[in-house]
Amino acid sequence: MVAFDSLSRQDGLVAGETTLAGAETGSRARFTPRHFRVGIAGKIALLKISFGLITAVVVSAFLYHSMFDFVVRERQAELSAGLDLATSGLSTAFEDADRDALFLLRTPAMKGFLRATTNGGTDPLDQSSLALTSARVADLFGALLSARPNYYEIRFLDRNGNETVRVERAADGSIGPVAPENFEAKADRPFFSEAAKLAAGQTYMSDVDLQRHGAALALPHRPTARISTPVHDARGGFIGVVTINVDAQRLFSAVQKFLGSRAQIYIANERGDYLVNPDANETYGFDLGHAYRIESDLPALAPLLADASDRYAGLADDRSRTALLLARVVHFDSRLPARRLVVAAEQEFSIPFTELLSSGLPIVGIAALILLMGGITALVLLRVVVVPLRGIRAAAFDLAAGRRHANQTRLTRRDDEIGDLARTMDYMASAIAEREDQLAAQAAELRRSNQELGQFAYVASHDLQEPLRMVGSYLELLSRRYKGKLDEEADEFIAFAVDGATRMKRLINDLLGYSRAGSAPLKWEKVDIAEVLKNVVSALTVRLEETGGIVDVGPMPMIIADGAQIERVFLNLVDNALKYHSDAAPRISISAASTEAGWSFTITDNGIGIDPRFSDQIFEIFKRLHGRDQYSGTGIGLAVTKLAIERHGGRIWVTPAEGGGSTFQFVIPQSRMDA
Amino acid sequence: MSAAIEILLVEDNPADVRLTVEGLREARIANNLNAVMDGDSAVQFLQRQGRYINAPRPDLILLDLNLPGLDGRSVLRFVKEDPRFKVIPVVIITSSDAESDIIKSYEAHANCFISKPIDFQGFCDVIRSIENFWFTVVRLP
Repeated sequence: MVAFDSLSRQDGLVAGETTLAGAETGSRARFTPRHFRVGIAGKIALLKISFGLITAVVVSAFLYHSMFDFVVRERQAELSAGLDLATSGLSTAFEDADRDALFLLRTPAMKGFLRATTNGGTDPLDQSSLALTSARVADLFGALLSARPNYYEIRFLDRNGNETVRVERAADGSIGPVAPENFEAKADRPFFSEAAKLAAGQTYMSDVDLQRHGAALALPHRPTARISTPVHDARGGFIGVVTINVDAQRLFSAVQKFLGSRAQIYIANERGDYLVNPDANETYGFDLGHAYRIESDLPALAPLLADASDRYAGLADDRSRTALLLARVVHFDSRLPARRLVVAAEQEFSIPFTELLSSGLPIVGIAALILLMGGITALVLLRVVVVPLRGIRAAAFDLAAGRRHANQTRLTRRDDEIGDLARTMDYMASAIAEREDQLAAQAAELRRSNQELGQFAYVASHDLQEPLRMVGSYLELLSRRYKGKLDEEADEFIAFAVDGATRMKRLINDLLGYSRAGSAPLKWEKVDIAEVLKNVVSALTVRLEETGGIVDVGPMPMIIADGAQIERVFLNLVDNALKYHSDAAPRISISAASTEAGWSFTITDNGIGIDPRFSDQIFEIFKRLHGRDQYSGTGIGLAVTKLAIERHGGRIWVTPAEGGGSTFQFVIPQSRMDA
Repeated sequence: MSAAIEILLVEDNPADVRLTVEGLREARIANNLNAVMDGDSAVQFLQRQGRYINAPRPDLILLDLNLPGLDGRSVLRFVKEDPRFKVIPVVIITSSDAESDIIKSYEAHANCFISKPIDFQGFCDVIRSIENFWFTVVRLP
């Protein structure tokens, strides 16, 4: 009635994965950096370097910014002053021309010429001929031209717009009257037709454009501004017009001169047409049939053209360049203030590298200093902190590995935190050493007393046997010889005494067994549990037949253990299950399972069960839960079982089984299985 | 059946000696028990020295292993190494059931080894089995 099964060896023997040595290597590796890392010194150096760089960048940015502002303000003031000077010069030149035109009318030569003209060719005052008076006027015009280098032509136009006197500055600089055959008719030109409409003492300012001869532009192109004033006789009759041609190119060059060559000059009339443009092709584009406009190139100046503003200052900042842009409005026509010139100066600027360097040099120096300090700090830290820390770490490793700690005398003398740490390490090492010594002494003491105790138990149980045998033997002899010869009471007393001796004999035997189980060295070997259980069942055959019991054995492994002790364990447990059976026939099932802790064996019976209150006590020596008359036993079996399992490093416990009975379970660790 | 057999009991415990006497008294075979208390006396008895000058030659030796002075193992070795005595059957009767004792005894050619039972009935059974074995089954030389 016994079912056996066996597991394959493969299932039974599970190879372990880690050895002790392997585990130690692993724990050390955990504290050893495997990849590159930045230590304390490195971190502080990096911090310093970052501080240095950030400081340098911030200070540079701040300085650059304030320097930029400063340079902008300075350049702007400079340019603005230049522009003011240039434009006031321009205004003055126009005003001068205006006054000069009026001045000419008041001169005796001009008055004589007018008298001769209105008096039929002869001056009534001194009888001078028209030819003479006009020669005097030509002289006057020549004198003015030589006094005013900006003027290049002065003429008198009669009431029909024909030239009657014209003096000009030739290309070679000589000044002289133009021969009458070269006189031109200018009646259709605004400087005549507009001036003719004016009252005496008023002047007309022409637009600045290119000089023409007839309809054709004079070559080379000659930008010209013309100032005209009407001439009236004594009765107020219109006689003609005096016109001064001003060399606009000369005026504008003076502007350029004031502002210096770095400034680019733009001058436009009130319609936005360029009179001066750095690109010569765009200059006087309107006269050449093009339409270049200042507001399309410099939109910021549109308000100046629209008479909304007289000046502009700002930064022309398109990505490729930074430039200052300043502009002024010049009113050149005192009668018509709407007529204007817009004079703009644009000056690109950058902060020169040398300037930047000279102001940035201290910053670079400071940054370099900070970097140097960072490096030095890192080195000092390395020496002062990191190296000692490494030493302390090595000492900690030694301590963890169980090596006695060598005092770090050099470090413990330091009066700082590292010193504190080293002293604490030393204190810890000596405390650990002291405790280790204490533990070792305690372990030795325990071992000794345990050994003594085992020896005592053995000696006691062994030596007790001898006198007990005497007592038992003679009691029995007494009973054989004198039974029925004494009275009934004597027989009863003798029977009690014999019974007591018998029980004591069993008790001492079990005690001896317990003592052996605790002291005999374990013989580790491969044990086939299926085989062990066959032995157990065959040893209990008689009991099984008596009780009609059945033992079910599941698949069983091979384990590493002391075979005799394991057999004792199973024998005790199965015997126990048979002993404490209920009314039903005992049914005992044994199974095995591989767990993390090792092989776990379970023995379940359908017996009387164990009160959970006593589930710990039953493993104590001499502990019995039942009266002698109910169940025999000395109360040592389970104690021996527990002792044997614990000597294998395992543990045993009992729980109530389902439907009554008990489940004993024990685990045998199998860390030795890979041996 | 011939005359009473001579038995030499080497046993230091008087209670055991008495118990053996009592056991043998109940035996079927006529016997004459000679008891000595230690190993030296046993050797002298066998060699008929000193006060054992008139000692009979034992037909059987019952030997306790634990003896004062010369111990049971030495007595056994003496008996089995002396050609005069080595044919005498020796039964080791001892309370020690330690394995080593058993092995050593057999190595020294002990003829039989019996642990002392604790109860008297068991002891009588042992005596009887010795009688049966040695006097009815084995023909002694």
